[in-house]
Amino acid sequence: MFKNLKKNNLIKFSYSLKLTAVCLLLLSILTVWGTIYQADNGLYAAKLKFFTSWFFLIFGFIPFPGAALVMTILFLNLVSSLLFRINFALKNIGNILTHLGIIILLLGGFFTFFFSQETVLTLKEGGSSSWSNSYNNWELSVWKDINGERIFSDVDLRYISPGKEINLDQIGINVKIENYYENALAFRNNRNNKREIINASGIYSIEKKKNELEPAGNIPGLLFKESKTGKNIVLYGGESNPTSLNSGGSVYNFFLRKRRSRLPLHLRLIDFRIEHYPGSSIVKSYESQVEIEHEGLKREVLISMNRPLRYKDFTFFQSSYQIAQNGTEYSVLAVVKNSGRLLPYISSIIIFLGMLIHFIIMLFRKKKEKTEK
Amino acid sequence: MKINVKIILPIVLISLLTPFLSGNSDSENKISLDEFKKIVILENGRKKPLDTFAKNILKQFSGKSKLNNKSAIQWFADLLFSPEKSHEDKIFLINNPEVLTSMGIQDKGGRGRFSYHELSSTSSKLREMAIAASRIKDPKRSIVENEIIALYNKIYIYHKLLGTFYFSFPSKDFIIKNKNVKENLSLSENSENFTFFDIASKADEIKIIRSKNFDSQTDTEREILNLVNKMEQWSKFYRDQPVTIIPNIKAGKETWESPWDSLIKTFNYNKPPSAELNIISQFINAYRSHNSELFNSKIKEFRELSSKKIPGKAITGKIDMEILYNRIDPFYKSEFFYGFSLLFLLFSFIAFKKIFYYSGYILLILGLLPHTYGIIARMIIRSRPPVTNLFETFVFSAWITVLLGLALELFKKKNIGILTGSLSGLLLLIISGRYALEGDTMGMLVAVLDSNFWLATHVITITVGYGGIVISGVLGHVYVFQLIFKKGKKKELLKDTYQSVYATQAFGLIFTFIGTVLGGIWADQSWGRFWGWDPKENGALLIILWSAILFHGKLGKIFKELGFSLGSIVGIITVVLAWFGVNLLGVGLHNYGFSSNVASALTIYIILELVLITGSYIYIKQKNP
Repeated sequence: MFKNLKKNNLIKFSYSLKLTAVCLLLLSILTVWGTIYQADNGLYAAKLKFFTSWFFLIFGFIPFPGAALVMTILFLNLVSSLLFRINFALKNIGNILTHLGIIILLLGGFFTFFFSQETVLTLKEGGSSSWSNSYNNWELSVWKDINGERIFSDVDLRYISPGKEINLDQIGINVKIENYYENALAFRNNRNNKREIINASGIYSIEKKKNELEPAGNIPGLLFKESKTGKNIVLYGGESNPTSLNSGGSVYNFFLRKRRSRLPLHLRLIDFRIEHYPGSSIVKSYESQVEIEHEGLKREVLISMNRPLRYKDFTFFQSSYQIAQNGTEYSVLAVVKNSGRLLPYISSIIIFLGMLIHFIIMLFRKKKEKTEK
Repeated sequence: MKINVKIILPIVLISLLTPFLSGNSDSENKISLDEFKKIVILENGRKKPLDTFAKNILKQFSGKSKLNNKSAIQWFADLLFSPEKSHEDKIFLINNPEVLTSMGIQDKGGRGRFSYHELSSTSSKLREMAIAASRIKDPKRSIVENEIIALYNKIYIYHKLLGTFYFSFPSKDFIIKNKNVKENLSLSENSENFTFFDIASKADEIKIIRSKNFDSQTDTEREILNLVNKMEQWSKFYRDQPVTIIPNIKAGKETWESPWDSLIKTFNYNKPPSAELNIISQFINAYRSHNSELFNSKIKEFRELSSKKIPGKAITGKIDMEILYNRIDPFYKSEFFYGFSLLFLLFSFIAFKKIFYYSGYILLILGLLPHTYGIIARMIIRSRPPVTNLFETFVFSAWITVLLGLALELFKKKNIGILTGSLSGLLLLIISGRYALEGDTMGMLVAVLDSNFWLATHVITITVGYGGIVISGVLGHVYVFQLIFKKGKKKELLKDTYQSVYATQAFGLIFTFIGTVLGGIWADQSWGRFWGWDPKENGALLIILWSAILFHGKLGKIFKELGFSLGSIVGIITVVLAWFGVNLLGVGLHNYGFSSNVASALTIYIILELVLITGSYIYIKQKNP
């Protein structure tokens, strides 16, 4: 059966070297194009258009495959080649290992692409948190206090649009989205609008602004109507205080913030240290002394450049820092959750071994040929 | 006997070259600067000898590391001790004649170097223009505007350096004729011309006068206070000098001061100058009175005093080593050897085949010696792996290509090893030399790069990989030229060359791939992502993809040996893009001087290669359909 399959035209195509060459060529083109595109449009836009996409349109109507599609085909091509084409002889073992490693490398890429989560945790010296924040995504957070307990309900702003009604049944409130801009400008004064608008910072209206090159720079604006009272609330991402509203006897608080995700432990920044080379502003190193707490067990850890803290699927990296004008130090930790993070390591070891074995075999073959001559 | 001729004649030929190698000495110089150049200075976080500092400054100003008639350190000593001499040195490089005409200076035809004296008359005009130009946002500035700003900055630094030792120069501000004043300050009665330092040394006397209130001051004391006022003005002017040679350790924190800053501090606190400042003042006077012996002994005294204060391991050994490295100037020597190696090899195609061939062979090996020394010396001086910055990637890959070339020659003995080795070694070293002009090539590493382990693994493997791909591409050229120009029996020859193209390409691919994966692991270790599609990563990926295309296309019979060889030439283009890609993308952002030159040079290079590839392909296909 296997032999019959090998003769099937589709299978033949799937392991053909021509397909490999075409995929590699397409990937080269995408790499060059996507890199040049970055100069004007930023890394994020380039990634979205060329590298994480299945296809995109040139001039709005000519489709061109994205790197995700090309790499999927390359992956299938590799698997098919291993199954049907490569000669499983001992002399080929290096070659086979190398390509097996590349398959795992691509798998690792897909795994990371679909399942990894990158967030950021900014801690003030002495401060603590068990939440990290999304880089780009925002949420509408609504809460109220019942019997001294605070109940939250969060809405991911990625999934809302004007006209949409959102039922926050857990805390008993409904809102209808009137306006939403991913990147907005906020204005205080009202000239032509007679509607009553509620906002804690005195903001009256929001306007659309062109999106930033890096989406982390976008600040959203949201206008919605609370159903029971019929009151309009405007919120802006740059605010520092929540807007409150009394509805049906309870006080609700509304606030826009970067989307939060729960960490498996509680972190407290004990000390942030930064060192410069003497007589210069070149940073030599910086590190965070943190205390982590999980189920009551506390211990101290040092997180520094190239020495992250690993905890289950989570890794905490010393990413950068901020120093406020009053001298308060903030440590910025990148938090990555990636259950496939070992795949690249495994694959690179396999690839390396494969190349080494292939090289040694080739060396012996050359020698043998020479002596035979 | 034949062997003797083979060896002796090349040696004679090579020894004829040696006179060109010896550097020019500072002939008219009477004062030895051997001690002076060893003084340790802290600049951008690195402790280095003044010798290097002077070289770097001169390179920034003039694009050369020495002047026609004097070395960098001699020029620097002139600037500091007897400025009137250095004002005539033609050190300010102006690339664009428009800069000159805009300053109202007669254009003498293109690019050239000008002395401070020539430029100083129009410095106010330059200042005006520089301020206006700096208001324009960087991407919108023209090349001329950028050069105006750069020139203004150079002259600004020149001014700053000029005053380094002015505190020990007599000035008209400190002419004291009044005998009472001299007596009050216990200054020498026989002189009228004093220095800032002379008066600052009388801290105790001045302290008493300063503490008195106005009504109780005598006329003499008011005259002294007048002097003190002038000194305070000077203090404002000479703050923050760049020549920071006095180490200062307080509460474990290391700060280095310039002589002026140290002097101003003690003067403001009514304290006499420190022991170091006294010695500095003495060696300044010794130089100015042409006393070489005293000058050197005082500097030795100063160095001993300050080296005791420098924390950590003694650095004297490294300073001496760096001075030796500067003197040998190893990469320049290698360039020289590689250049002649290439030249002789080309001669060998025309006449005296054997003699020129062996001369080229020996010269290539000779070039490798200073090259290797340079790389090792840098590693020891910096306690770092060989590659940590762009300059070093070129030096190191040049070294790799020469090694690969020699290895090829050992195995094949078909002179293509020497040809490719000397050619790529020379070109890569020339490129590195351009990068060396940007300042200190031994700069400190920012936090994220500060990992000797990853620098040693990732950076080296990837640089070795780039070297392999480049060599393969150079051999690809050889293959194409042999196919077109070689007459008669060439099947064997071509097969041989193709094998070299193939083997070096495989070598390059393996190392580039491993290097890139190691880079991904480093990125994963330090900021949590294996791959991020940033320009540097994409550059490496492009090389790998292209090389993989070559191997799979050949295996899949999409093309044959010729296609593979032409493809290996495109491989060089991918390496070039990966190497300079970031800079190329930055055009517009860093649109001044070198970068824009690089951009146009690269574009021309790539177009030439593409023309060569298509042209030779069409020609070959027409000849042998």
